[in-house]
Amino acid sequence: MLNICLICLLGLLSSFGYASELSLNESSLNEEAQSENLLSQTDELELEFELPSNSHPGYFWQGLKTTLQQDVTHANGVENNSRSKFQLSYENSVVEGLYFKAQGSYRYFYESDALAIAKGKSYGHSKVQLFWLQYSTGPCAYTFGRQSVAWGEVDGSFVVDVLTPFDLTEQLFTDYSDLRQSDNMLVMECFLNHSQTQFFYTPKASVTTFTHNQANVDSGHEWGGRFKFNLADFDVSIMLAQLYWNTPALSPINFEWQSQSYDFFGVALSKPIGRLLFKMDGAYKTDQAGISTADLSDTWALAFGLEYTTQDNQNYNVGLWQQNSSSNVKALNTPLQVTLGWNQSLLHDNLSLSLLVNVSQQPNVKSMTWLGAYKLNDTCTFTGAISLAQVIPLPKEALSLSVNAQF
Amino acid sequence: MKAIVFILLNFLMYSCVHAQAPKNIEARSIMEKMDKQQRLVSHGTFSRSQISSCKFGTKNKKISCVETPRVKLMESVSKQYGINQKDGKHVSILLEPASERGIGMLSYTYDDKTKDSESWLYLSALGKVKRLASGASQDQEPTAIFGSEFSTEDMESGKTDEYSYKILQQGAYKGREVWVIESTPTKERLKKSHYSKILVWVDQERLVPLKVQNYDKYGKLYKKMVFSHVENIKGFWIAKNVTIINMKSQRLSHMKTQDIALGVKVDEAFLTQRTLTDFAFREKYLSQLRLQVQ
Repeated sequence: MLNICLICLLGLLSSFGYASELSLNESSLNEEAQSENLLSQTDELELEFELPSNSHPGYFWQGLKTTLQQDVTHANGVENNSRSKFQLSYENSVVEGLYFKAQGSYRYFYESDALAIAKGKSYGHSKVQLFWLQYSTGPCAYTFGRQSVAWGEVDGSFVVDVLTPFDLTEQLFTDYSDLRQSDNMLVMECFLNHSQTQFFYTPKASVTTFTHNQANVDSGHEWGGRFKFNLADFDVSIMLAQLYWNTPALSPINFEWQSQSYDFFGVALSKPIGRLLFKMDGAYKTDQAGISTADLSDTWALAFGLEYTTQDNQNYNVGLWQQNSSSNVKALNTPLQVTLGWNQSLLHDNLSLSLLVNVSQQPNVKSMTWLGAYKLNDTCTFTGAISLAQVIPLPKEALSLSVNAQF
Repeated sequence: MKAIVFILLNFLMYSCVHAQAPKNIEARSIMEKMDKQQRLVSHGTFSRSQISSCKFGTKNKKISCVETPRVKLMESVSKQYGINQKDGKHVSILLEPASERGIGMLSYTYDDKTKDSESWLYLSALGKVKRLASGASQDQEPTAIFGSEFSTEDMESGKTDEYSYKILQQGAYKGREVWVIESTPTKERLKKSHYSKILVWVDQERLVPLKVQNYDKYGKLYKKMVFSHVENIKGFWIAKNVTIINMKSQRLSHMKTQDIALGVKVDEAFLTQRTLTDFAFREKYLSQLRLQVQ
């Protein structure tokens, strides 16, 4: 049923952009212009409007940004969200060759919020998302401090994008700047001709992504690098790293949460072919464990993505990804997952609409999310999402609304 | 978003030509000379531009915004390459509004119609550079720029072969001697154009447009552009303010060039992906370019 709905919706959507081609009858062209006095100014309208004058960039306060956000999600399950956020961010060039960026937020989780219910009371939580200093000299840049690093090409899959994963305590779809977990690290990136070489070192890895109340989990340092080469018509990356599990596993021996280091080998590429963009991520990880199993196994994972941008800037995309254990540890196998998406901007870019469909076999979930974001003005944006999920055995619906103001 | 790269420089190019104007020449020669000068202007250019858009109303023959305008502020750098400098590399960084600050766009365009343009977008919220698929230039439909009334078609250059030209009138207009030139697209061009014809009021002495009127496929007036604050910068006449009025949507957009530096030396490394992610490098380089503003 969901598939039929999807086909209907996609068909309907594509018809919006199907502008009828007007044929030109040249004789119908307005020939008046040749006979009228084009040099006359009697019918000319006078422009009379005052436009805001921007202050000159360079003043330190122009790097300051404030965000206020209110999120509400109602679902027919228990995962309701009700939370407020205040965020401050600042970035500016300190002196020549030195750049600073900081971003911090305070979130308040009301009683009806799922995280507050889990904790037993409403609560506030502050977070330093970014706090780094970047020094650029010669062909290299050195970034030191709290930051996040994104790898990989296929959106929505975490095959190689594992260094600073999504923070699942954040509201999805509304403010992407807080969505990724950050870590204290040193990143060195060198740019030579058409290549980028990146090295990172994290003294102590963060391994919690689901709640604010996880027990302490021992972890150690992470390090690795990525070599990215930009050819004339495609980008390719090779990644090597020693990392810690992003999700701790419950030890069946001492019933404590634990994370373990593992070796990571990854490759990513993207290649445009006309209006198509082909993307691929692949990874091999050693010593992986399911959430509650003592069996360790190496895994490999592959993700493919394809995007098509129409002439009127609608974007259609499809993604496939799968993970398998090399030692047949079933808990580590993820059967083929499929995502389908569409997005377009309308009303002078004030309204952006998106549709995201996800089909997963394990867990057996089919979900569809409609997302709309409307910019009321240069400051205020309303975001709404409707999600329908078919989670075996129970269906689930959710309605999310967010208001976000940035100034 | 892809269109960011077009507006900052191509519009300046469109609205400027070298100070030496020819006399007694044909319409095509005038338009081709203007087009050629566009490429000269964009060969090493830094600019800071503001685009404001709003719905407008008219009262007593005066046009004014009837709502608070949306404002985008951006800095851009470009350089031309290739035979006759018809290939281009552009980078643009958004400064305002706050919600879009830091978004950057790098684009390589090629005169070869069979060669796809290349674009990379830096999404500041995600901290990630994303390659975009855009197709070849011959495959591109006109799209609005930043949701403004300017479209990519309004700023195109190097397409003079796709139009026929005719001088309709000449004489004084707003105190300047002008030619009024009609541009009519070829049948092939018409298929991917929003306009059936374009009238351009060309300042005869400075070879700069003072007014442009675009007509839709029914021959009705669709958009009107007014150029003002024409200044001579390094021997090139440049209209620093351009207002476009969309008669159908009753909206207008106003582009103001706050600062511009022509003929600057653009380091090859600046027009690469490094500029999108190495902020310290970018700011160091931009601060040097800002000092060269004429």
